[in-house]
Amino acid sequence: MAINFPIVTTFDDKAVRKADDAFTKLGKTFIGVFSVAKVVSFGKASIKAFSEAQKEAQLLSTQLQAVNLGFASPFLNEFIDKLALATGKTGGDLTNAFIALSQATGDATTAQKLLTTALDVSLGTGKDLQTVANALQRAYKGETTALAKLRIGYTTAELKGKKFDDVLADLQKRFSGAASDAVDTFAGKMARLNEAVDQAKEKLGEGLVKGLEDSKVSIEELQQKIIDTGEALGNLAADVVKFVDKTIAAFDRLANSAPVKFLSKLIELLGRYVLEPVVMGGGFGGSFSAGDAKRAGDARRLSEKQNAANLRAQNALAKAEAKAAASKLAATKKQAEAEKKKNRENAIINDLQKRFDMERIQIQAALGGQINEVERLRLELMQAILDEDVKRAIILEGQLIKAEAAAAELANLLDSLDTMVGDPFADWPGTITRIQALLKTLNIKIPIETLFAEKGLKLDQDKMTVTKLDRMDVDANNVYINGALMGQNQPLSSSSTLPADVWAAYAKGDPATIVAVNEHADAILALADAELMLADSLLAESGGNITEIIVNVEGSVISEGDLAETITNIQYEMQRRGQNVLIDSVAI
Amino acid sequence: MPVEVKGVVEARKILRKLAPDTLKGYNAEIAAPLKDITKVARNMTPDSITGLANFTYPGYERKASIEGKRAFPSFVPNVVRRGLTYSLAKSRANRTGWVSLVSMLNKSAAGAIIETAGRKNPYGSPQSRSNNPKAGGQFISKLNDEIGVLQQTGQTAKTQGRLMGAALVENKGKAQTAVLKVLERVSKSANTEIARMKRGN
Repeated sequence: MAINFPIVTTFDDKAVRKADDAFTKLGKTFIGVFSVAKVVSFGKASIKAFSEAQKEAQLLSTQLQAVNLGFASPFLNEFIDKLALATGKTGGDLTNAFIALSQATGDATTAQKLLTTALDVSLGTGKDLQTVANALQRAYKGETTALAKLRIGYTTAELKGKKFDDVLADLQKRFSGAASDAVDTFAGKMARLNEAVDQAKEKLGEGLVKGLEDSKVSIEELQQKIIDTGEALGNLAADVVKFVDKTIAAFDRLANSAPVKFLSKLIELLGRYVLEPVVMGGGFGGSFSAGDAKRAGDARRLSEKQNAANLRAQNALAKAEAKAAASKLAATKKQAEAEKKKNRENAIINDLQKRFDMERIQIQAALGGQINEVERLRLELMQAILDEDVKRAIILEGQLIKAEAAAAELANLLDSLDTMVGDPFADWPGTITRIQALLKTLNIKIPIETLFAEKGLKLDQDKMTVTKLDRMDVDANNVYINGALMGQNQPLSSSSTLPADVWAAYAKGDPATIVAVNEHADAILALADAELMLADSLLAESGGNITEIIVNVEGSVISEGDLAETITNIQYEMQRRGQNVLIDSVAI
Repeated sequence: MPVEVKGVVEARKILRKLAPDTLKGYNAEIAAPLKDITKVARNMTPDSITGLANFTYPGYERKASIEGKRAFPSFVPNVVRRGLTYSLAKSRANRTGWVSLVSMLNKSAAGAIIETAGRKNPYGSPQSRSNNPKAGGQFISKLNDEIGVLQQTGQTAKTQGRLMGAALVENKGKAQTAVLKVLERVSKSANTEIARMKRGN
């Protein structure tokens, strides 16, 4: 900020002129308000307003009677008046809107609710109240086009799919408080004041007309009286100016004069019975004495205090709500976290339980064994069902169906081998190739020659020829169970019986080693005999209550080899048919 | 002490519209005595002030001890001299409605401090809560010694000054008289221009 040393100055009287202008205007306004013409004009306007209000009330009453709601007319009139004061909408607008809605609903309460919603929508969107009310009226009846045309966020298609109650609830949710927001604005407040003045006019008109009726004075006579009163007031105003110029005492005399008393009384009555209850419950009643001004000031201060208290209460409420919402959110989060943790723990426990489920263990063990494709798929499908893995089960089921079809095809092909033998046009290469392919697909590790041999056929794969088998020797020691070679011909694993160095010495023909190995073998045999004897004795103790397996065999069985051959054949047959060879879910 | 004149603002407006060159000539005439005062004030500004280490320019811009605030200004002679100037522009009206039409200014921050230090408390603030409560008094005393004591041009302490204020006192109202004379001519010229306009010349 520069330091200023003024050398030449001038006085700018702009502000003073502004103030002068403002005072002049205020004076003019005051004079205008209390001029004769204005008083007369106000009186006329009041009577006119009363007349219009009466018309509205009559219209409402008639319309309500038409929908059997005539009894509610006085209450609804009062409701509309209060609504008009609260919102600043004119009584006429509200009456028309209410009539439209009550005609549709036939129910005063619903119509009141709809009118409140219509007001919210109207003040929230700036749409005409009557238009909104008409749209709601039609929507209530099921015609939603008008509501869609309001362009308040609904399309015709949307509205057609909704119930009116839902639409109404949505509208109430969206526009709730729009009316209160709108009336809180300056324009809204002005509209409310205007409405208050209008109602004051109506009341004054009503009072004038009633008084006129009571006094049996004609309206022309009343007009003349008002004009006379106005003139008296005009003269009085002139006197007031003169007296003020002279002395306070003169002003006192003037104040006590009959016309002034009349004026005071008139204003007091107007304030007490008309404006005071209508506008805000006081603050303007009575004459313009110092006491009244003080009371008005007190009332204003009280009102300000109340407003401040309300505001504080609202703030406190908002804070409390925010706090409650935050704590609720925190509790919800905490609960969600706990639930998540519980789910996680449950998943771990389920997983562990799965590992110890006997059925699963058996399936898992079976899957580890030598099984064909069909069996594998069945086991896996069972596993998927236990796991409740629907997706995997569906896939496996598809694969199983294919595998079972392949197994059936293989069985058919093998069945047809007998008939093909005598057929000189039989397609042996094709059949053999197909059987080989199916064996591979089904993961069956039985040699194709064995399968042919079972049918009494001899297969020469090099020449791709099949001839009848004259004789078949089956060695029970050379058994394939599910494709795995079992029996004595199984390759001897030296490491499984004897250590490598002992085995090497034994193979070299070291006498000492040979003696030791033979003694070891004798010892094992002796142990086996002892175990057998123990088993026999236990069997004898138990009274021979052992599990018996009865095998029905066609032909004669005279040796263990015959029995083994028979059982093996049964297994082959079952595998060929694609049947399960399971004992207690364990594949053999 | 400032002198009140009436109608100068309007007269200037008229001349600005109707005879801008004439107004320029008058402005130059008004400026001449004001420049003399400015020159005197600038001459009063010393090249350095000894004994005020925290006021003399350290060669860099000082940083404020409080963030967001301006640092205490340093005395840079040229800056202070450049800030000693005059204005013919109409100022904004103060609270009582007065407007200055011709003013002498001390614009720089350091210059303003030199100009006004001691106006309110000639010996420093008695309520000082500084670690060195006498610092204010010592600062004022040093300025009084190095530059000169406060000179009062008007009736109140607000018209006191060390540079521009002292220069105005030294001028003894000569500039003001000269300016008023010119302004009188400005008014006359404006009236002439209005009369000419009415005549339609």
